[in-house]
Amino acid sequence: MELDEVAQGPGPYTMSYGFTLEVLCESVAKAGVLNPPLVSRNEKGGWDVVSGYRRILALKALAQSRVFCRDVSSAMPSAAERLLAGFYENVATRKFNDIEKAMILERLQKFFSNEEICASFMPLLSLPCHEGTLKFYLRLLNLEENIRQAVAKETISLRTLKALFEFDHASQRLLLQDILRLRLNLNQQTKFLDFVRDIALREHRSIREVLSERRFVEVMENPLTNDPQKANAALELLRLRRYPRLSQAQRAVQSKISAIALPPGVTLYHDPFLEAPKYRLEICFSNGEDLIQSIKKLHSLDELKTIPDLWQAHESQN
Amino acid sequence: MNLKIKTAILERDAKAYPMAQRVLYRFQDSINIKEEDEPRLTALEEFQLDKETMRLLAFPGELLKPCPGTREYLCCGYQILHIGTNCPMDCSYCILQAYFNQPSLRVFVNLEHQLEAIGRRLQTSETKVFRIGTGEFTDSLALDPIVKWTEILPSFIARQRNALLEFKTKTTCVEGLLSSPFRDRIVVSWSLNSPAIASQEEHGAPSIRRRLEAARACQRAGYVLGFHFDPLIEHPSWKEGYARTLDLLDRFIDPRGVIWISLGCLRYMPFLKKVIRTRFPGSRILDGEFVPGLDGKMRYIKPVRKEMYAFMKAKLEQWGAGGIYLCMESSDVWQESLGWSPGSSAGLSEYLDERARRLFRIP
Repeated sequence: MELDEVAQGPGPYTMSYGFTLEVLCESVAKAGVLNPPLVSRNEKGGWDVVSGYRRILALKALAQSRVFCRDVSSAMPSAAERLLAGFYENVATRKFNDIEKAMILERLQKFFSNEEICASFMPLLSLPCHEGTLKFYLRLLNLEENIRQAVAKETISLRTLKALFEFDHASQRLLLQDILRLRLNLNQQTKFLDFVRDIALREHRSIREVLSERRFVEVMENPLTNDPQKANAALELLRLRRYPRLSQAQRAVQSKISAIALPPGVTLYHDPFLEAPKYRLEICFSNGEDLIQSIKKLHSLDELKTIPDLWQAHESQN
Repeated sequence: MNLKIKTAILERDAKAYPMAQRVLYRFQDSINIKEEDEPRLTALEEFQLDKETMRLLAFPGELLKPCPGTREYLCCGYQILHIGTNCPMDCSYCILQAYFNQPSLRVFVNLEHQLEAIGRRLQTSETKVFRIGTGEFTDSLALDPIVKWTEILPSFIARQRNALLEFKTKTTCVEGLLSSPFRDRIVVSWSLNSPAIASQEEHGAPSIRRRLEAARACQRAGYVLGFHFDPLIEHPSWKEGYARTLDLLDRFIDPRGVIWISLGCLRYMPFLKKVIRTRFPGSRILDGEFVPGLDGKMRYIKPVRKEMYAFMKAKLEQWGAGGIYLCMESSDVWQESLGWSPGSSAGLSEYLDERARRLFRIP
């Protein structure tokens, strides 16, 4: 058929989102379309793609005009059958991103009850059979386009989104804007949301107020730092504000320890949260003589006496 | 206490137990009663605990278990008698909120039938003092008007020589105890907090004054009392708040009849934070500086815990209290806040056993 005859857009059956065509174009250019797309007649007399939407886009990108397709209009007379054909063909051959899963679930809802979707389809999508999960996925489709793209590319985690859905709409937008701008990794996203929410609640401020505070904006707009540096600086600033006493105490201990010139191969550790009461000393050595030398050097190191009890360094500073 | 139970579910395995029939009889026609062939989980909305349903079931495992302490902190060697789970009150900090796969108020109606085996277990270690409590996974007395644990357990304890039983509650449901003839080796204890925390975070629980009025009634009736300030929560003017509770304690209770008072700062599994934020968006209990403890639970940074314990200890000793101990704390926190440490879990256990021996006739 002529490619122009195929309806524009993904249509009612296909389930592709957030993809790139480079590799597929290269494959089609070199080997052609090996597996013909499935199509069916629609009410307007045109053709809907049942499966193979990306192959058709690749052909269009390669400036081809014709495509060999398989017409399933008679073999699969109902829309439900066509949707399932597309679904089963895809599910057997590739992984779906989370927006694609959401699209599939939404389309299945037109033909199946939530109970059936949970029991029969969600396990195939590697999702737990739980109506709460179904509702959550359907919510993803209401996100703005740039956010959906970020979800599809996994630059925003579902855990982050779940946490974000607990904020009001305006706050969600502000938080997402900063998460994307700072290019936070998945763990950083969780920390960022946790800190900002805790600070807002503790200090009776809105999310907007927390994120537009002068020092935070300065970090975000510092022309001398790159994105990872900005991300670290922003998180550290928030951490200091959320955990003022802990942060000060950690710094006090660290400054005491780093002032001591420990022999090479000797490292002093402490619990980062200052909960375990003891320090731990590690000595790396290559043989017994090496160990004795390290111990002798340690023994003669008067500065060791300045190591304070954890928390004492902080209390004495105050 | 005003119970809001609308439905009772009798599981198939529980039908044969007389305790189940007695509980259902006490409901009379006031609620909807269902029988269920197979226990099944109801599909509940996220974080719903279904406190309007009482489920009567036979617990398949051991009912008496040691309290799950951890190596990293000193544990008192308490034994938990598992009589049920969940409770009709709704405290924002409650650890039971984490158990969503076990919703409803669950009552184990095979309790009476297990008591004989439990008694045999107690007799195998006659030199050991078993400090047993029922208030770990439920409130010991909140459902007593319907379930009548106070008709079953004190007589059982009276037959044991080396065990005491602690009813731990936030309620005023002491009628069953007051009409019970047994007093020996029964401790009735209340969970206390500052009035602000009680009113803002302990939803559905009586005020501190009403709890202490109930405690006074029990003390006057000859019961030995205990108190648990757990969780202590750092909140604005916490010193004034806890001092107010201690003033009330002084007005209502004679400290000589108190066996022990435990102190424990708020701690929670990390997962619970999300639950609390969702179920109690106005709660302020998460405002403090929490760090992961050595047992994986979140707890206040050490200086906060030490300050709170030291403050409470000074006030309680002023009042004349003995038997003050810390729940799940490290030896250095004991030392620096209470001025001494039992050194180990065994040491703490011995300290509390000694308190028990002193107040009761335990060999």
